[in-house]
Amino acid sequence: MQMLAHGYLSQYSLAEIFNLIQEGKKNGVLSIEPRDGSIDASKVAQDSTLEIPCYYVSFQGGRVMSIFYGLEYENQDLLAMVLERQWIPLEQIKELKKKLSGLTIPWGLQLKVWEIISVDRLRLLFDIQVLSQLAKIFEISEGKFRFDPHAELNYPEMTGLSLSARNAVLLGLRGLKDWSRLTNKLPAPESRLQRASSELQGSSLENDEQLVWQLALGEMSVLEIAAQLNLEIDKVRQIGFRLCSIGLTHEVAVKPSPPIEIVKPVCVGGGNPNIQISTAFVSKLIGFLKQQKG
Amino acid sequence: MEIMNLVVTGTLGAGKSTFILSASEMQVAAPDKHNTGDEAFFPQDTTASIDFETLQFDEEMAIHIYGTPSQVRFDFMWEILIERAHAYVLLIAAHRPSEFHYARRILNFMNQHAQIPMIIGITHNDCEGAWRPEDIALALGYHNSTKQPPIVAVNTQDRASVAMALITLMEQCL
Repeated sequence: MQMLAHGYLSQYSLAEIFNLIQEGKKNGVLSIEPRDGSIDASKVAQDSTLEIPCYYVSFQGGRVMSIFYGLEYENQDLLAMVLERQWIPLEQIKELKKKLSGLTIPWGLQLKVWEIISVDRLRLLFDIQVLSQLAKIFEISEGKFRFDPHAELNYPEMTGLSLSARNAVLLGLRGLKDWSRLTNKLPAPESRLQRASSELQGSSLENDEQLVWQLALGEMSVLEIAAQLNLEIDKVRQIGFRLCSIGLTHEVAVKPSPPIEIVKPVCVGGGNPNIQISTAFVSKLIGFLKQQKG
Repeated sequence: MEIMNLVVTGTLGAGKSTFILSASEMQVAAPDKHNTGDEAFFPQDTTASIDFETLQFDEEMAIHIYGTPSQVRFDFMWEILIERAHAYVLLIAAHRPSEFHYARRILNFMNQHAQIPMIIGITHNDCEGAWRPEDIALALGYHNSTKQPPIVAVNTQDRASVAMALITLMEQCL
């Protein structure tokens, strides 16, 4: 299955996009073009050729492999980061580059196999490359996104380490300071949270998240959970959104009581749902509809 | 008279009213709706802002088609509709990904109130920015295609397309 999804972050949140990619176990590159305060919109409007730096998030099997921020996705190189830290001399870097070029596995992984770079150092590069960038991309309030399943994965920039999109969402949303643009997507205070499964599915929850998840049995409203845990309602709604975003819970909307002045409409007949529709009815209807479709 | 109650729900601008109208226009000789209105859930003088049409395809057989209210919040009218429904259609506009979250809420609400045959109709497939049906399925939380309800592309303005969608729904009822 291939996906070429695109749109605006105002329409579809980054958490939802990551979740979609995780659920579909997608390969490809998600580009995110910020259009918020970090970019001078008037300059972009005046000059349509002006290139805007983008974030490029590489996914393999629904897992985040690398994140790059810049004008061009191509020609990024893990070895440049290694050289910058003077872990390997320039001459050796040049030789390694020749040996690595053309390989279709993450260069970091190959460097580890050759025992040229340690796991600790790979982890550091991954932290710089991915974890530190996650907080930034989840802060983007306005922007365009595009997921290209045909984009070639950039093995030279990959460490070989990866993070599930689900945990990437958790980390990204935990660091989010401005929740205003997500307000209408947060679970309503009167809604109930229902666990999607009895297991955490490999998600690393913080204490408050775990407590909310434990109470997400479809019986208590968000408001009641907040009261029980002595947490602010906004905080519980945000936790609820995080848990829903990674598929651990879902929101069950509960109907509000009708205002007292509204008279409930009276059922005055109609098909009775307790009476099963006959097979003859369905067969006859299908025949009729087939005539309609020509 | 054997009557099937069919609910058409969906996201903003997905074409619920057009779908209902196209379905009702299928009958060869449109009956006077007021003749059948006394069999509806709601009395004639209700101010309920719901679409209601009938499709009578046989002397003794008809479908009553109801559209859910357009407001985002679920209220008692939603509950009345779904609890009396025999089947339902969820329409989703493919070019409005901002509404997918709401579509998921509708599904949760419906599933909580009734386990009845349903299909998902994807509309506006030819619009710019339209998502592919399989990606919309993922956005709705269907990870496994064998466990998801039928998802069909629908042009709500085209009677044949609406008929096709209803055939798929009826096949779920057999």
